[in-house]
Amino acid sequence: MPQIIALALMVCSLLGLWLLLTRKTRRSRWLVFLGILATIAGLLGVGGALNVNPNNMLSFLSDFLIVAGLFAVLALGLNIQWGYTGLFNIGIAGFFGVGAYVSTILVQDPTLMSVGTGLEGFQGHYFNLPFAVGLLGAMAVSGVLAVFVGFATLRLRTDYLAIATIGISEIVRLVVQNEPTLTEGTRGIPNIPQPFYSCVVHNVNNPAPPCQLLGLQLPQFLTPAQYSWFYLVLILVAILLTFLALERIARSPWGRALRAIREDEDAAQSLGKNNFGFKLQALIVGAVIMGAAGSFYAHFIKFVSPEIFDPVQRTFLVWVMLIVGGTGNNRGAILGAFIMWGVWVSTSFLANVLPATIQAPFGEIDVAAQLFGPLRVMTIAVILELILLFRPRGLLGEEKQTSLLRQTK
Amino acid sequence: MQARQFDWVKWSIWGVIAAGLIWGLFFADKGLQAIFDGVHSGSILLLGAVGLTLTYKILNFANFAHGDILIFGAYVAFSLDWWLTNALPSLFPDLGADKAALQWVAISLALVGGVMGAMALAWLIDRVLYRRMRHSAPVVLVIATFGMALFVRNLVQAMWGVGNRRYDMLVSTPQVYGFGDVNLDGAQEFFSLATRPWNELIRTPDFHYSFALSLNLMDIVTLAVAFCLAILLHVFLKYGRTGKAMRAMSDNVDLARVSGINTERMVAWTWAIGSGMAAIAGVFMGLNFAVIEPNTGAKTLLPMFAAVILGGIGSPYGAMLGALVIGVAQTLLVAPVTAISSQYKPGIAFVLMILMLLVRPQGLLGEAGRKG
Repeated sequence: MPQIIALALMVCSLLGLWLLLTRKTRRSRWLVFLGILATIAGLLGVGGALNVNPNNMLSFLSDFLIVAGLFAVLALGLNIQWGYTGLFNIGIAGFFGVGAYVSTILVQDPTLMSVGTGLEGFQGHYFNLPFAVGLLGAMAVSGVLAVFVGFATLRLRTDYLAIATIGISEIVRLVVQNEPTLTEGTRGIPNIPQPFYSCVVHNVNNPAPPCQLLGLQLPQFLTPAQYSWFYLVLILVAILLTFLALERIARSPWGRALRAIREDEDAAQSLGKNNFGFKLQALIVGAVIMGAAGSFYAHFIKFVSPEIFDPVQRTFLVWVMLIVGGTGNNRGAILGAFIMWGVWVSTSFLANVLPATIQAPFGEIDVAAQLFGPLRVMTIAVILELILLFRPRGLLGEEKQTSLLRQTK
Repeated sequence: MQARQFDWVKWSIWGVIAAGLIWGLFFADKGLQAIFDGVHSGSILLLGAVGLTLTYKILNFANFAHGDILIFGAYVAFSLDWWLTNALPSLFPDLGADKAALQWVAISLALVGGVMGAMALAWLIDRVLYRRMRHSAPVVLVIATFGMALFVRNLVQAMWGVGNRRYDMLVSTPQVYGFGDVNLDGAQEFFSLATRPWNELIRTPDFHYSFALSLNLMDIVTLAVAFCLAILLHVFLKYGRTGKAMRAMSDNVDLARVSGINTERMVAWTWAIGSGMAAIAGVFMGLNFAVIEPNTGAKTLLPMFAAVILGGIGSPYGAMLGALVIGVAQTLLVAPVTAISSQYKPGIAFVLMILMLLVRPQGLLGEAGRKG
């Protein structure tokens, strides 16, 4: 019975998306939008009930919100590149993964490398620095990568940047895979420490001395299982800061110059704007945000491996999120991230509904191993193409931005 | 009008290429073999890169789904190949007796089938999707191709699974062709075209093979097919009515339409040529490098784009040249220079591409002053 409900809800949400894409009026848009949110919530609820131990329901929810929030940060980073400036970056996975690896290498404690992992020895060098240093390092290296890509391609047509970014993400993945003295190669880095863990978590079995933060001693008020709620707060702060910064940027002269370049490069240049400089800055700001998201992700998952460069989840899904939410709209980017991550996670519950194997004329097909993953990506791809065809503005569309000067008057 | 200046950048790039070839031939260990392998893999790359540059030139957008259409064609050929090797002997008993002939017939027919499959898919995607976006900004089309790339890649995964597949055609033992300063059988001869099994020869103690080539039938077939197709394409574009119309369309769509060219048909031709050649490249990848997997196409995309940019975007001859340069650079830098792991081959292509964009963005054969 729950399977049937889940399937029905899935069909509803797809229907809702279709309506959303084809209807143009404002009221029906909001109705359908609410419907979609409700179906996703329902799906998550039903799916969670089916898959997750009821005791872990809350931690399932917090994990969902954390990852969706990280995708929101990524989508915001893409929004300043693509939404504001029109820079076509399809190497998000590269900037994200570089952030994750740099932060991991800076923060990792060498003594934790082979605790309870069964891995004998390690080859890299780890610095055991505070989380803040790792975060800043991730942002810096990601930005340097953007300078490297941007310097060669930003004077040229947009497509060159696309090719170069997809290239750089592939190259970074190759380096990570083939340089075990730097990154442990394909086996990855386990046991990454989490920020402020010993400050807020009291572990009964393994008590750690309380830590001091800016001279304040924090009470260890959480159990280990509750730590993800604390992390969620960190992520929400990160989203909020990024969002406020980008909103401020959008209304500043700098943001206006970016949009002018996006709309008409020649016109912007004729007004004396340094197109190349502005584009490079926008690319760097976006890449820095993506690097930060990577750092947060690594410290949440506590494990990095070359899998982190997966172009489907890290690049493609982020693009779909931004386009669904509304290109050029920061609220849209966050909304799209939560909606599409909801679709992505809730479709994973369909594996329970589908039969395990299908008899095909040429033999038996293992649905879970062969069919399910690809069908899921294909569905997302179809959603992207439908939005591009029928509703290129996305759910919210771009807001009219008034300058700060206007507002104060 | 300004007098035509000597193009220092262009000629220095040619100089670097020539210097690399000379270094490879005379100073690198097994350099001739590396150069040959480079031309070999470059000629496969060439087939893919030509289609990419044609869509860029005529439809005016970068097609990120090209690598995946390539692998789709290769997989269609894979299915046909195994079906034909099983079905043909019952139809033609004579063919069943000769295993080698059967394999060649099957793979040739499968190749045609794969080309048709890739053409059909590309045409279908164009009809359903790209045609509706033809009047929107080129960048929207690029996003659409990026989505289609993942769609097709996952379609291939869903239909054929994620594992490695190979054609019913084993790579035969390479023969060694030595010439120049080669010591075969202890005698120094010039142009002694001795053919020996490779593994037998390298066990000979006094054999030094700086000027020997080891190649097999498949290498020669690959090179021959690639260069025949390149020449055919040249003739088609230069002298054919359709080819001329395609070039006219790439120069100015509106003028072409005014002068009575059916532009939609030209678009269909572009897809047919591009995806057909891509499918051939995919099949040859499977035949020469032993296996194909659903990600093979996506992995080839970066070297293909590098080849296109190296030669100059939109120039078919440039793409051919760029593919050969990339192929030779990849093998010449990986085989004799042992410091670079062979895993970094795409990295070499990428670095060459970035260098080219920095010093001469319009590519080797592109015209100066034209933006993008």
